[in-house]
Amino acid sequence: MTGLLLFNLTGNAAGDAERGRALYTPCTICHGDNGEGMQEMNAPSLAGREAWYIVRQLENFKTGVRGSDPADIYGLQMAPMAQLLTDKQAMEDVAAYLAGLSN
Amino acid sequence: MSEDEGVQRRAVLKSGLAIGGAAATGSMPFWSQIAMAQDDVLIPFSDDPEGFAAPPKVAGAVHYQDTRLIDTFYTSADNFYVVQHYGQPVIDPADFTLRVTGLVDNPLEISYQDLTSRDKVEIDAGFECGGNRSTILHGLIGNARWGGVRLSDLLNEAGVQTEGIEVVFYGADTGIENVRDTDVEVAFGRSMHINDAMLPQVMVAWEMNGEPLPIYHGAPVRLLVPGWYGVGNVKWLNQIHLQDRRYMGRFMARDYVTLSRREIGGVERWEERSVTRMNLKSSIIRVTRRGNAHTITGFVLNDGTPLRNVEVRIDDGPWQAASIDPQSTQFSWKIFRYDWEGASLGEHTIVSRVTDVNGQVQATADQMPEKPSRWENYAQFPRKVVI
Repeated sequence: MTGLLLFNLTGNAAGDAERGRALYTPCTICHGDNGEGMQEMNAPSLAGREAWYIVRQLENFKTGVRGSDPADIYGLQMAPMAQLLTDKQAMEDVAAYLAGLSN
Repeated sequence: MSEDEGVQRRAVLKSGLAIGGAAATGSMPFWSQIAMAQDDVLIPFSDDPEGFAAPPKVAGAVHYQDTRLIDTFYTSADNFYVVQHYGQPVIDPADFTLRVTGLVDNPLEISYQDLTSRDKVEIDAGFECGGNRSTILHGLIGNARWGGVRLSDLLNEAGVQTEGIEVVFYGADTGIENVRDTDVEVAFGRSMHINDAMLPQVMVAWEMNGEPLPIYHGAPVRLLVPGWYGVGNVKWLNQIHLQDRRYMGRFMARDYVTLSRREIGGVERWEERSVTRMNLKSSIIRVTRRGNAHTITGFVLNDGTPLRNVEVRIDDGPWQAASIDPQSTQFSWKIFRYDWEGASLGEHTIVSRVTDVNGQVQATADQMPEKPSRWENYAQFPRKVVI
């Protein structure tokens, strides 16, 4: 029961990877077509990352926990991109898609 | 049309017409054929990425446009693609100084007011990001009218010394880079040979489509290098430095470097080449239906070498000439149109190719050099469409 609860809380079960593939398209500019990351854009690899981690970071960017310090120019670039994922479901879908990519 | 003729024509345009006064150029019929009218039906490509759409414009973010929806010669500032590497600095024009330094007889410090009080030249120029690619339907692209001064005028005013062969352009955008295990704060920078810098089309620009540059396009002043990939068009430009050896900054010598295997003077070699002049490229962007008539629309970009033609092929049929927007100039994008007569029901593969006056033909994917790096994607781009 606890395991199931955790499972739901972390969003692993909730994401639709197919929908996430389309939502990920704008992210490809910096994170690459296959989530491989792009050093030129200071964008890390996302392929194969745990969905709960991706969702948490997206929420951090959306709420200003990350990407609000003027010295953090790369975070400042990510913060507005995170706004493109308008709700929790969208974040979970993208996270599910990324989790399924091989790194 | 030569660049000088283009500038001249635009000078006339400027006197009496607002931006977008395309009727005066005789290209209205062209755009009325391809611009989406109320009764036009956009035929979706069956190989579009599922759910593909351009993201809304968000302050501070990178941006690309949905090329399927291009319907004006000039791309609005909001729709023109945006990429930056060290954020988007906000610069008060009142505090702005453009410096010309190094191997010059008269170093310059030019205020925004001084710069913008000079005689303005205008040029239509389109370009794409060096990393533009088919998976985003080549959306890192745009075409605009730019206003500013010729870089050569500033360089002549400064008096470039004989040894000053490398012109380095620094932006106000800076970031921390780890170079040789040392964290250092560096500005975005790019460079070019003095011969490139003295070309008449290269500009220090403060206007885009008749308006002051927006912050995200490099306000108050940017470099404009018509015919080059976007990365060379340094935004937030605040220093031009003349030196006697190659500039080796990150975005010149380490990133935005194309690794490909090609013939180098008859010898096949792996080559690392800085992303500079745009390759010969075309792409179909959409198919529309008006009544029973189908129209295929696309764009061409290259380094300004005059074109021989743009052609479209349906399935295994012959290559057929498309019409190029007469409003096009040497360095603008060239929107082309092909009237697809008698399109039969079913799925078709359609593709475009462009050929320049030197006989160079846009490469197919199979003809592209082996190229592990992600830059410079200019292969023919076949699309599938169901009629």
